[in-house]
Amino acid sequence: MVKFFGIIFLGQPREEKLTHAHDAGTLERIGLLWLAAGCVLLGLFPVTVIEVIDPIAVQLLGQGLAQGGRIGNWLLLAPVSPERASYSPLIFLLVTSVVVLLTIVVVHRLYHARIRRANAWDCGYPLQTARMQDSAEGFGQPIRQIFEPFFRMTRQLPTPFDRAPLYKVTVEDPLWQWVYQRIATVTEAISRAIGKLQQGRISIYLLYSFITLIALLFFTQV
Amino acid sequence: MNIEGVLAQLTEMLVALVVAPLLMGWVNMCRAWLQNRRAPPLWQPFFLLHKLFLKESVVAHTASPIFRITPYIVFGCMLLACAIIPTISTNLPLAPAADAIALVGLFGLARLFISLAAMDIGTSFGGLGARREMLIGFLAEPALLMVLFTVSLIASSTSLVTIVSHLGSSELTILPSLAFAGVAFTMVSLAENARVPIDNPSTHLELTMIHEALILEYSGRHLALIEWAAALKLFAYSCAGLALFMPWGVAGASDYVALLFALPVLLLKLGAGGFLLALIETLLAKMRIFRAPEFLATAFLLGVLALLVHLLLGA
Repeated sequence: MVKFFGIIFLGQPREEKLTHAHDAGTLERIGLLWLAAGCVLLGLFPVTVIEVIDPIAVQLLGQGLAQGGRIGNWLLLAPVSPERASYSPLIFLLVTSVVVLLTIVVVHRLYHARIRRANAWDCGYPLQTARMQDSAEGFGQPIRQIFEPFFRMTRQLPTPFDRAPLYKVTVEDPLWQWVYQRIATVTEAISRAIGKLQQGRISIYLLYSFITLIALLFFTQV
Repeated sequence: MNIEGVLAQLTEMLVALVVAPLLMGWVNMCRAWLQNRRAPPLWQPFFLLHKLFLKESVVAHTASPIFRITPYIVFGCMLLACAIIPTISTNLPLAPAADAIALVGLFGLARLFISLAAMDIGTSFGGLGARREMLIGFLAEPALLMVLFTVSLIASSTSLVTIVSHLGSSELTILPSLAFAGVAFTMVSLAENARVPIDNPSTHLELTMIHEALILEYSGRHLALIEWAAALKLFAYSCAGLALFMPWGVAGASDYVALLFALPVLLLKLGAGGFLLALIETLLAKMRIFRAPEFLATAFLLGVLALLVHLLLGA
């Protein structure tokens, strides 16, 4: 989530044409807003939703969360009892917001709210451009490096002397080659052999029917 | 919820706010002694916080509101984390709001915001820090959950308060599963709090820094809040470790005598823990970033081992 949100919405525009980008219209935003609001409501009132979908769990597993008593009230999600496990998203959100607001007020009252705008620190290298920011490729790179044995990766790295440096990496699932590719090859071979029967000429098909009839007659005779 | 509980809750939050920077100062003191240096005073972190609060905050031209709200959110998350971990009393009205698993989510929320804020300005260090923080986070969280599952299986509850009362009231026996889980938890805590061997809190070396790269753009009161939040995080992890593996001395509900002794006992335990942390930081060197997965995988493995030992041997 950090990768998607961070790369797409944060930082500086990574391409020239993106500097002219503007926000979507209000109606367009509402279209997505109610979906997001659904997620937030689901997070805040999980008990109501769990009670609705609980019969499915009972049918599938023979045991639901709500069995043997309620799973808590609308405020507190507690499947067995509050002593065993509990979670209350609303209190969670409320306390966090109160603490955050209190901190803001206290810090601004006790000290000050001065802010100075300045350029970001360039670490002694003023020629940085927006293209030098992290990309989605770079963000996932360490994780990919750790799980390298589980992937089939082919990398094409530029050398320092390339006029037009090109970086390319393809990541594949090794299972695809080991299992699916082989099944596909075998299936293809079989279907090609069967395909040889199909000549597309009516006389050949008549010949097949004739041979089948002869064979059937032969078998019934025996 | 009663007035007594509310008082205990507020006391605990206050204790966290005061003791967390002191713990940081104590670790720095011990480290200085172990390295044959003259130590800064115990309350040095408070001087630092005060100085930072007084300075004006410099914010980049390109910063969005996320950048400015993040220090407050991270601070709030850490304070809430300290509030739901039983440090001196188990009579906590806030505790049912979040059990051990929600606690991991709380740390995750703080991590999410601090990473987003780091990417917000669009400098290379921010992106680098965010990338590495997510890497450490996604490796440390499963190990932490494994440890918590083991302990909750023993106490048959994921509620921290119940775990503490269950383990604290049982007689002193050394469970092998708890021993494994304890080592795993220590390793995860080192990684999550950006301490040696994963990260070095006292350097700003470009090639290796993780936490410092994230907060490089912060200054003034924003930096002060983040530093305070980092101290609170260390306090929260230490207290969670103490709550899970050394829960003796935490007062129950309306147990006033125990409540009187709870704070000195906590300070004593934290002092010992802080010395141990300084010892680890002095004896070990920082690892290369791509050795960190091995370190955290070991922690995960120990966590799984603890779970298996508990399930198979029942111990």
